[in-house]
Amino acid sequence: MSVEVRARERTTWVGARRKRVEDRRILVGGARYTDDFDPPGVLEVAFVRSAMPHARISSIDTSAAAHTPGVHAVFTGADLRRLGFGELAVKWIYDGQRCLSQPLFATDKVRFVGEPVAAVVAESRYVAEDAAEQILVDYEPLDPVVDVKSAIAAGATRVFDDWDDNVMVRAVLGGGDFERAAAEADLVLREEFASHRHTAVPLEGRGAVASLDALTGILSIHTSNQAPHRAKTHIAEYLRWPEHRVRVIAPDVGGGFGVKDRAAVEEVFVALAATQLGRPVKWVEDRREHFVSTNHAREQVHQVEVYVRRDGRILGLRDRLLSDIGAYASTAVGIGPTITSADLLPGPYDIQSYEVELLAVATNKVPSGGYRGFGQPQATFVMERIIDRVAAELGIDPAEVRRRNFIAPDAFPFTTATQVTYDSGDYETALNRALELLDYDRWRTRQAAANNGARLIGIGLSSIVEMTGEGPSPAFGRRGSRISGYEHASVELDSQGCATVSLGLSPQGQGHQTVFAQVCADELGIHPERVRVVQGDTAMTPYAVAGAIGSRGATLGGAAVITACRRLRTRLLRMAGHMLTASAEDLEIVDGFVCGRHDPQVELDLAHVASELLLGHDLPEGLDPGLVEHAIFDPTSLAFSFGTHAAVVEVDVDTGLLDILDYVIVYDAGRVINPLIVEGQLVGGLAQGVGAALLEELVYDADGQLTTTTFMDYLLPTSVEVPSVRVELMETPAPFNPGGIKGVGQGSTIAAPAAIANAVEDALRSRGAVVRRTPLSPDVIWSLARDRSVTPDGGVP
Amino acid sequence: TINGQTSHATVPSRMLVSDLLRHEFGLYGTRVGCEHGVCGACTVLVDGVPARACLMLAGQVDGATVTTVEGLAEHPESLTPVQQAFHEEHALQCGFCTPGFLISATDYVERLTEMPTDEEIREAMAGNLCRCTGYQNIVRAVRRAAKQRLEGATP
Repeated sequence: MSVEVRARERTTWVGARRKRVEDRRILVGGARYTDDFDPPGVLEVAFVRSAMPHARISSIDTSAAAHTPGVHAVFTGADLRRLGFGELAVKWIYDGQRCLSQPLFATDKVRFVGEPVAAVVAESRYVAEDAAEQILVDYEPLDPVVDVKSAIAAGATRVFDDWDDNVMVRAVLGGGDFERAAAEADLVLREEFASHRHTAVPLEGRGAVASLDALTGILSIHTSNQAPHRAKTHIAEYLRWPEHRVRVIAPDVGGGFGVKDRAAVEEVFVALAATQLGRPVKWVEDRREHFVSTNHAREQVHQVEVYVRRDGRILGLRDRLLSDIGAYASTAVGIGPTITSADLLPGPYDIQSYEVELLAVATNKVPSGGYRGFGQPQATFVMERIIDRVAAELGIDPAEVRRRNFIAPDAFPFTTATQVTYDSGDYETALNRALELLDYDRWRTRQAAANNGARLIGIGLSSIVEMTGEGPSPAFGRRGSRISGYEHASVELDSQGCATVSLGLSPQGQGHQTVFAQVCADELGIHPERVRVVQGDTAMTPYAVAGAIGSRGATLGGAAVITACRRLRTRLLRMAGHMLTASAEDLEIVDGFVCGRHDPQVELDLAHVASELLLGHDLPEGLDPGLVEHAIFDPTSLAFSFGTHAAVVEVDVDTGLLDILDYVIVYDAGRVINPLIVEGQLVGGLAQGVGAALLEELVYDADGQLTTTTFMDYLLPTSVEVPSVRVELMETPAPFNPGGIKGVGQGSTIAAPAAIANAVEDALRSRGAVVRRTPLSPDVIWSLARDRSVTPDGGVP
Repeated sequence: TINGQTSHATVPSRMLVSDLLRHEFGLYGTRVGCEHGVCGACTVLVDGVPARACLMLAGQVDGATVTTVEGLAEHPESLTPVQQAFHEEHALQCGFCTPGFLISATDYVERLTEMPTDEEIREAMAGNLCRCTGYQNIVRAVRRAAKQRLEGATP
């Protein structure tokens, strides 16, 4: 009898539209977010928050609150000082920066509406809120600094008494030969563009539950967070505890998008209170608190001067960037988003002379920080508006102006005027494909036909780059940041040949468990169902400080998993070679079996190899027992994803209402691990971009009060406002990443506001409209259709 | 009656249904996203009708029949067609809004008499906010579940 031996077939999991393994728990209501943890005896916190944007605190009377039944403790800034606790340090300090820390509670003066002044810890949140209302704070009001331009005017009220003005950072980046640019230019464009204040608004707000185990002395903190290891380091540092006595767990997290990148003052207070009171302590913010305390983002004014040749080529670009930081620099990222806006403003374009003077300015508003895109949406809005203004001024098609300015595909690695190196790209191919998918010419014809009625059609393009996988670590150091660029993974195989992958990186809905299992499955030659991914608990995962920010999960987490798996595979094949008396180079792992590369007769169950390697009874010389490998992947280069969004809008000039008629995304994020998830990121990011372009705005009145603190005032896009969209992926592998993977989380949020803004101006071109600011709410569109001189701050002069 | 089981609790008169379900009965699947009735994450069925648990006081559901996300599927191992459709179409990311969407979508799909257009589905789902997915896959999931129910119902 002969046995037919067929070679095992290799299945490739990277690239497969694998459905998510995370879903089942969520779908049956079994996911657990921070507020779902109610340890026995838990006390709850209500913060007393400043009702004043800017005032001196003359007294705080907590006596009535302290005597309210059910109240366990009341804390003010003075109490914390007595206990020996200081302010929370800012972990990203740019050259020459002022504002190096933020107090947990304001003591001498309050600097924004919502700033914590005191906290009540009580039996329940209901009781804590009642008692918080009993706390009397006497304020001596000061003039609020609400607007970035008046903040830098001579004689402006100062947010910090010991500064001589309100400027946190002044810096000049880039450079070039502007004399030559001016001499060769046929057109000099001077414009002011503004990006308005808005922010991430994840559906789950921030929160923390801290418990001190009296027997082990370990403080455990469940917190809705993007970076549990970073939170652990910073909480331990603040409490002056050894890190191994602090355990941070990010359980299921209901979205982050940048605003959960740290332990902020509230989470640090919860940890502190648990250590002081010896009872578990919990705080979960409500939606109003979220709006008045979780970081805001993106408020910038750009005053640009652009030198252009008559063929549309941009020779030089000067920018003066005024960034409204709010009352404090982000404790996590300082003024990082402003620096990134300045660094990356030229986007995909080859602009030889580019210089930006940036002023990061303190105002009496909620501190700003990271939000999906990290400064790039603002920069893109400015750059893509410039391109379309140039096109309109010169009478050239905006797609053609983009082509004439793109960095050429053979110019990579390309170093910009601000010394940022782009790794790879093919911008024109993405643009051309987007135009083709949209059927650009047909829309231009329709647009011309519709040009006389009350409903006008406009087409908007936005070509972008997305900085992903930020590193290497020394690059963070050069920019003043106390985080690192690497990601850290371990992979362990058990006696049955099943893998456990652990990462310091922690997810908020990105599908990490699904995609890292795919990556591991390919590297180890096993089915992804045999891979478990562990994340989110600092006690169970290897240290990586950065967290899931800046589109780094897939690219750097993926690279760390690949590297660890390859090391483990080498061990497995050496062991298998020993068992089979074959050379390891002639073996591979396919479908859970070690197989001969050239001889299908050779086959050994991976589980057998694994259990022998774990036992260590009979090992080849020089091989230690055990089946765990670690890898720290610190990138040598940034990975730049890129693509083009193309939007078609219809504007009703009588009502100012806008419909998005068609929307196309062509995007290249390098090698795609799971297209289902990548498309999900692109469409989800688009929704936030639509919100930014049309709906969402954090509005302060002249008295410094935030007037948008509910979902009735701050409008998130619903299923009706977000258009249906066609997505097509390109794959230019990242050259400096073992998997060729780039990041994708931020791309659509970066691109969409500019695409929509360009489409609106295009629709209203015949009316002479110039879009200088977002959001494009119906009243703004209505005004644009009537008066070309609508100013960046929305008012008509 | 909550998810088919009679449940009793004595609570302060001001307690919200969302807090009752979550912190008294441990039914954490009902999420609290805004506490002012806009986001829809806390949507449950009260006597068969979708309601915002954050806008109701516990006393208002005294004697009522309440269904939460935990009560949609008959067994913990099984998924309803709507839940399955959300999985197939990748209609969830962080999952915080998902229970509310599942309740709204289940109610909507059950009441359909003919296949809706995508626009109608978008209108029907506009009472729930999602910050992750951009809605496109939620629309696809509801379409898939609607198709399955209507085609299953037609002989």
